[in-house]
Amino acid sequence: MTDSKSKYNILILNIDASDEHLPFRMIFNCVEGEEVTDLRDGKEQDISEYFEDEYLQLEAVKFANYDKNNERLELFFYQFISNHDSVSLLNFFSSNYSDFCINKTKEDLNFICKSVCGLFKRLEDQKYERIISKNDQLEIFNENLSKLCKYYQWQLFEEQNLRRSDEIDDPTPMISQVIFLDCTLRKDNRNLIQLDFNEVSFVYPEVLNHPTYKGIIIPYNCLEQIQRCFMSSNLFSNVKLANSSFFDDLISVPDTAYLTSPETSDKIKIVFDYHFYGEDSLLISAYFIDSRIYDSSLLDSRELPQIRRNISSYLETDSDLENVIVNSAFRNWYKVLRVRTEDIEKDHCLDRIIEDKKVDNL
Amino acid sequence: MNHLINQISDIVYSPESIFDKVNKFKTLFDYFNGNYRDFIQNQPTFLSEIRKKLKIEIGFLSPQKKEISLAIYGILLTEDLIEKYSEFHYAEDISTLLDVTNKKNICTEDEFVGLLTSFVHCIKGSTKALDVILENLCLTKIKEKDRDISEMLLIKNNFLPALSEAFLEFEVGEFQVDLRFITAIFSYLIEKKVLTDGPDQNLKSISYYYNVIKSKYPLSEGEDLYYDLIRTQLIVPYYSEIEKYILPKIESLLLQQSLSKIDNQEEIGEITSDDEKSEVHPIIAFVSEIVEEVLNQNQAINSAKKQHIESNIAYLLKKSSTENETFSSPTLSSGALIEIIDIWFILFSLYPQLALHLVNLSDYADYTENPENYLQTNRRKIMQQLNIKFRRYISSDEISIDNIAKAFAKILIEILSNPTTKTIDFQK
Repeated sequence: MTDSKSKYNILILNIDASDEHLPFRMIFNCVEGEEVTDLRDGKEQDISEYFEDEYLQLEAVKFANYDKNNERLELFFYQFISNHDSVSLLNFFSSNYSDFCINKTKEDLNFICKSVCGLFKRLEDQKYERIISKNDQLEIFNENLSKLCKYYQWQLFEEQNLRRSDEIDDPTPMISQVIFLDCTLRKDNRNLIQLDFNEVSFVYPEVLNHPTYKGIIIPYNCLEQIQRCFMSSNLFSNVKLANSSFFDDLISVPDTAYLTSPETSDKIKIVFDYHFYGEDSLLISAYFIDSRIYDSSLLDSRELPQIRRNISSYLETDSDLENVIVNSAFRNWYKVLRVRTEDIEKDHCLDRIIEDKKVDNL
Repeated sequence: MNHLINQISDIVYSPESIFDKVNKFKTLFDYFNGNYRDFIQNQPTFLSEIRKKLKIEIGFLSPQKKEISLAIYGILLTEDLIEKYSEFHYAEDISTLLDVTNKKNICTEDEFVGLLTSFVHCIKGSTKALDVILENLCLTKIKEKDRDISEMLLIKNNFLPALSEAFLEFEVGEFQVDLRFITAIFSYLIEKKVLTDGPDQNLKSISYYYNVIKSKYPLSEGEDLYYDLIRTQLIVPYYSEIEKYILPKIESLLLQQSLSKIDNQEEIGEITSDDEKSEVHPIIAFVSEIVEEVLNQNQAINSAKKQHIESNIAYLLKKSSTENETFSSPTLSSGALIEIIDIWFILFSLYPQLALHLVNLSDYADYTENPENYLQTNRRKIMQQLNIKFRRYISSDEISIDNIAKAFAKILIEILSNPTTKTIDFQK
């Protein structure tokens, strides 16, 4: 199924420069090969939110899609983020294939990002020296961008060179923690499906209580990271606007997310699973694979598929989380179950939550 | 030949490793350093003549550096390190070279020799790179007709790695160089190769091209400039010329392709009748093409070709491994090797000269008289020879498809580059 209606490839470019007319923003629909303005939904798409966190940056997310009967569809969305100097870029595309290689695609986007950055620097310089006018600048910029996008589009959908390659992961990243989220689905005023996080459960190994990791693994941040992996409602509404009937009742949720720390180039991968209960509630399991944490007591990420299968099959029959965890590979880990999301505060560390919970229970 | 390449995106220029670069830099640096003094002592007439010619051009250099630069030019000439490089261009380029690396005011003699080493390496490496790039462009253009796409592939997969490699040549010598100078070197080489093939008065110095680029392009550093520099300074001015230049080559490639397809069909047809190894035919077809090219069309085996052979054999072996049980076991046994050696024997029956290299000198007469008969009776001997070669080229203990493919390619290259292979033409 390569229905052109369901084929998207959107590049959003953000250039920050000191010039008065900037930041320069541009949405480019590669499929049409044109700059698309009607995707803007009244206000401009700002992607700076993706670069706010200086410790961990969301690099790429693969989204899975479910229809209204909670059946998983053979359709995937990919979201990539790249930045170089003053240029940041967000790419969103859809595909029926689930095997796009994150590293290779990133490489191509980095090339686009860098190229745009160099080009922009040169044009700014020439504009400043009054060699070219602002209109010239825009024209040259558009011409180059459409060439770059055409190439990227070709790579993705025609050459398909970015698929089927092995991902290069860190040597032995470990499963560092599991977070279960109880959610409800609702439709917002734009008729988009939104997820509300109600309760959160943390399952984590003893080593995370160690002072070295206490500063790194903060429940509030972990929750925020998960939230950030979900499609920004702005982006989603833009994509939906282009073809609303197709996206109606489509539940788009992250399947795998890749984060990196720009400072230490550590990699964090979050793998998600979904269990729907009835029409409007679901349980999300998020498995963190983290290269920052090394300990012999941790589980190797290569065991993850097996573990996920086990937990999934248990969740089918038993909705009690505690039972499920006891029967899984995580039975010896610490558990903090069903904390209301609003109760988690910024400075809470994991054992603090336990203490709070104990007090509550008393 | 190109129908075997998987995807156009795989046609890339891959630069040398940084270790090789550092080593090469050291070697040439030592060579220059040791030999320029000898040159000054042994070739006084040459030096005084050239000094007279370039009196004004290199007037800005200190006396010692004048001697060094002239002696090194002498070495360049005698060793033929840079083709068709006139002394006036050399003098101009040295002046610009010192400018673009910020070494005009302070530069020790060692640094000066190092700078010239980097410069010579850069020109040599870029000349080779340009050859590979032009070849790659031929292959790309056969498959991809869209100009925008092939242009972008040319930039991203070919010129960009080549230019960063050239930049690295200077970094190895610890010099920071203006990127426009690197671009100018490529303009110079393109002009030399594509526009003025043969002795031509129109060819200007690298320094001239640098000044042209400098007048049009304001920025000089940052890796993010590569795309824009390559596009505006190399692609826009030269693309149509390059296209014209490679057109005859593309046509001959297409002709070869269609001819070899017919040839292969005939050959494969014969083999299938007496041998049932239909799953290995792509390899035989591929190797036949290469052999044809090298033996009958006298094509040289350059590094690009080596790469081409290696990657394609690996691809074909992997492809047949999914169909063939011997290869599909996770740990390959020597059974797989025997399978491969069978392929070799089919090749020997097609091209008897390939086995010449493996036959004992004393058996030459027997072999040339009736190769088929000899191969049948002495199969064990030849097999042993092949086996030894395979064992030697499979460096690690574990035998994998990749290892076998590499060894296969190495043996093929060894046989083809051996002069004895070309001595006898069995078809006549």
